[in-house]
Order: sequence, then C-alpha cells, then structure tokens
Amino acid sequence: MKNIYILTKLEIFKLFAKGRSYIAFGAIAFLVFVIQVALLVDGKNFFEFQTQNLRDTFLFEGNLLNGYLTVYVILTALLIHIPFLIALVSGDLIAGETSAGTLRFILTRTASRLEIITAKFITCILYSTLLVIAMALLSLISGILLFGKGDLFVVRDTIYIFSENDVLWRLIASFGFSILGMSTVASLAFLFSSFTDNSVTPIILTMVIIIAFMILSSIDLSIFKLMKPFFFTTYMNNWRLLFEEPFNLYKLINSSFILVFHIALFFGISAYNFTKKDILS
Amino acid sequence: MENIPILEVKSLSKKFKDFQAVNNLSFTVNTGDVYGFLGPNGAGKSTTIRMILSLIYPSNGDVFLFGNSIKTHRASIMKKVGAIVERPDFYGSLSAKKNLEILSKMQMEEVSKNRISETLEWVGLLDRADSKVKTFSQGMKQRLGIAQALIHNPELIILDEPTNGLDPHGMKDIREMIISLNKDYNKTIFLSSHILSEVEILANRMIIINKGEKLVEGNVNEILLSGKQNLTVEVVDVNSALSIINGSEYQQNFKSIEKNKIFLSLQRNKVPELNKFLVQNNVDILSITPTRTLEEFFLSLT
Repeated sequence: MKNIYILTKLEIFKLFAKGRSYIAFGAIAFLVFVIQVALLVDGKNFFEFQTQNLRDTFLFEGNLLNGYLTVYVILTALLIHIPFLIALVSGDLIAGETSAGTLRFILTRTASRLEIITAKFITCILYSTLLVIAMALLSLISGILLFGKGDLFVVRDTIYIFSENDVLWRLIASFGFSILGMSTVASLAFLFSSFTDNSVTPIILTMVIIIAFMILSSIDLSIFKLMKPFFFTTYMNNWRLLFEEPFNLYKLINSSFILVFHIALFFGISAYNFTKKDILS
Repeated sequence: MENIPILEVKSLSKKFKDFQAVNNLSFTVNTGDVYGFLGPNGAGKSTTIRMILSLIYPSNGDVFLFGNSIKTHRASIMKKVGAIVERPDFYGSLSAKKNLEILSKMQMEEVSKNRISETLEWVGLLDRADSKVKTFSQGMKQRLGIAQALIHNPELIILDEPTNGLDPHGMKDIREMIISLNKDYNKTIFLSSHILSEVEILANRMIIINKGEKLVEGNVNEILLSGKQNLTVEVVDVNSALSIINGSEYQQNFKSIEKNKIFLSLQRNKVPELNKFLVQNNVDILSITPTRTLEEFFLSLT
C-alpha cells in the first residue's frame, strides 16, 4: 500500500505537470461563467419561455430564477459534454507514456506493473472527481452569489417544486452521483489507453462508444429498449432521480452499483492487460 | 578472479506470431565483465534486453540475475539493476533533476538529493539540472539516461546501444563513462551494440547474435583473433609492394588495390608477421589499418 501511495503521488505530480490536464478545468470554468452571465442577462426571458404554457394555470411568485436553478441548468448542460474532457486526460495516462517511451523507463524500476497501473487508475479517478467537484463549487458559489437562493422549479414529465431548504443536498448528491458517472467514462478511456500506443485512439473510442450508446438509447425501438439496460450511459444520467418526487432511492442505489461494477470491470481488464502485455514501444 | 555469474540467460526464445525474434539463446555474464552483446540491427538484441528486464515475456526459457529468476524475484533484482533500453526518453516538460527524482522514487528506496546531484555531476549535467529535458540534445539525453541507470547505485548496468545517434565526441564521452563505471566503480556492464569496434574497445567478453541465435560467445580477443579481418596497407610505392606480396604466401590474402593502398584479408594474429615481412623486403609502409566491419566479421564466421 505504501508503494501505491508513493506512486500515486508521483502520478498526480506528472499529471498536473502537463498543460492538457488544465484544459478541462479551464473549459468548465469558462462554460460556467458564460452560462451564468447569459442567465444573468437573459435568464428572465429564458425562464418565462420555459414556463409559458404553465402561466395560465399557475401563479409564479418569489425568486424562481435563483442560484439553485442555474446550477441545475449547468448540471443538465455540462454533464453530457464533460466526458469529452475527461477522456482527453484519462486516455493519455498509459498510452501517452507508451508513445513517449517513458513507460519503458518506469517499468525497469522496482515498482511492479500492478502497482503502477493501480496508481495510474487512482489518479484517473481522482482527476474525474476533482473535475466534478470544481464544477460543483464553481457553479454553486457563482450561482448563489449572482442569483441568490430560492425554491427550485423543475419541469420534466411533470412539474416538481422543491423548497429552498430541500435543494442544496439534492444538488450536492447529484454532483456526488455524477462523480460515479464520470469515473465510469474515465475508466473506459483508461481501459482503451492500456491497449494502445497512442493517446488519440482511446479518446476517440471512448467518445464513439458514449455517443453510440446515447443515440441508440434515445431511439424508441423495442430492440434498443431491450439493449438500454446494458448501456452504462443509461445510468449516468440517473442523478435526475434526485429531482423527482417521490425520490426513488432504490433505483439510485442500483444505478450507483451498476456504475461501480463498470468501473471495477474496466479497471480489472486494464490491469490484466497491462500486467500481461509485452512492452514493445 | 573467480567467475561469478551475475546474469544467466538460459534457452531464451521469443516468438511474435510467426516471427521468431530470439531462438534458444543462452549466455552468461560474470561479475566485473564488460560484456558486449553484438549483432546487426534486427538481430534480436533489444528483444533479449527487454526479456532480461521483464518488459517482454519470453515464449520459452528464463533469465537469472544474481542467481534468481526474473519471473519470481523481479522487485529484488531490479534494485540492483540499472538500464537504458533503446532511446533515452524522459518527461520533456520536467527538469533533469525532477526526472531523476521521479525515477528514483519509483525504485521504492530513498535516494538523497545529494545522490541526484552527484550523479548529474558525474555525467556532466549538473549545470543543466534545472533545465527542461525537452531542451536537451541527443547526447545530453543519453548522459541523463546513464544518470537514471546509476541513480540507485546498481551492480549491473544494461546499456542498449548507448552511443546510437551520437556524434563522435558524444560517443567518446559515453565510452569513457562506461570504462570508468567498470574500472573505477566495479560495475558490471552489459553493452548492446551493432558496432564491432565499440565492443572491441570496451568489452572483455562478448556474444554475437544474428536472427535471434548465438553465433559465437567468449573472450573478445580470442573471438576476434579467430576470424579474418580486412586490412588496408598504405605504402609509398604500391607497385613494388604489390610485386612482393604477389610473390609470397600473402598472395592468397590480396583483395584489391586503390592508389597507394593495398587491401588484404588476413587473420589478426598474422598482421605483425605481414608487417615484418614487408619491412624486411624494403617496403616503405605508411600505415596498416584494420577495416573490419561487423558484416564482414559475420561473413568470416559463417
């Protein structure tokens, strides 16, 4: 365990010594800023447009365009696209070292291959976690500072209204669940990274799989409906369960286990491949 | 001195699909040797080195270092081995010092900052310790490669074509380092090369492989004496020298002539006799230069 701790520290250092590791943080900060500013400028019209069909039936009072709503909007918009940013780094963790030739050097040291890949995987998960935490902090702090707090009004198949006191934990839990979803994406990119000698292939493969699964899931054909439970992407968006009433805890826990299973499976295959393969680069 | 094996390669084979890269290769490196591992490009040298370091898994056979199999004692073995495998590749955006710190920590042993500085000084890079490696020349990277192999003070140093891609000055520097490591620091060196003269200068024992198989193994001088080599004899009067050679036992060794140079193929231990013979026959010799290449040596072996 001590070895893995030392190796993980080294991997984190190496990761953050690379410029590409900051692209995702920069992109998220930029997007959160742009969305918040846009909502500040045009948020009232946006909210009125979203609720125009309901205005004949309901009377809207109070600060409904509040920080919590902006965070919800950001969550909905960004969680679909963050996998691209995560794959960019996770796909490079092994393949980048293979193509650069540094893998040869680190594998001639005392540390075992299993220890090295475990440290790299922990780094990969930590990176995904940090990215989601950064997104949560940025959106929550800027949202509350710019728009204040208030009840959260969510329009889905039906209308859900959550009182101000009942929202924050749901948002935090959503970000927590998103960590699992993003870690699954990171693990998939990491898996491909263990098989290839260049970092472009794992990034492309990961995105192709995610896009393909999402497209197939959205087509309303019975064959795709049968396949949907087997796509891990189906469970990634289940953070939305937290914004339904009654709250389906069982389904959320089930989704979490399925994502954890995928993470473990992807790591298991990566580790097996990495410890068995010939290093030819 | 008693021969104590430090590296034993036993019946090692590696097959990549239909390609037999290494075939039933066996040899022994003793403590204190500078052991030349010679072969043309594509002979299977790097594959063998990768198997020794467990970067590649053998199809058959085993490698023993310090008496233990690399398959079962990898971690303890790697504490006593330093290596450069092919090109010296580093984290280009990090400094030389930081690269060494990372690699030494991966050795799972505490290496002091002093040791890193000493090693950098030894390879002549202390003044560039804080420079990013991406700014280094090939020669500097090669020296840094040697530094990373030495950082944990190993007993056996494996160098895979360490002078590849270097200019003559860089080659000389690296060769002097190898000699010093062996003579001054008692390190055993396993030196892979495709340059015969390099192994001739540096090694005391050697193996020559081709197409993944052993051609010959043993003492460098004995091996080199056993085969013929090409000689260039530069003389003042080429016609009179040629007539003397043609009327002698050396006629069968004659190959060609160019300006004032006569090219002969002769066993190494016959060179002094040839020299004596020419001098006794009043041939004014400007130089006698061995010009044997590895390829020519292979031909003389087969």
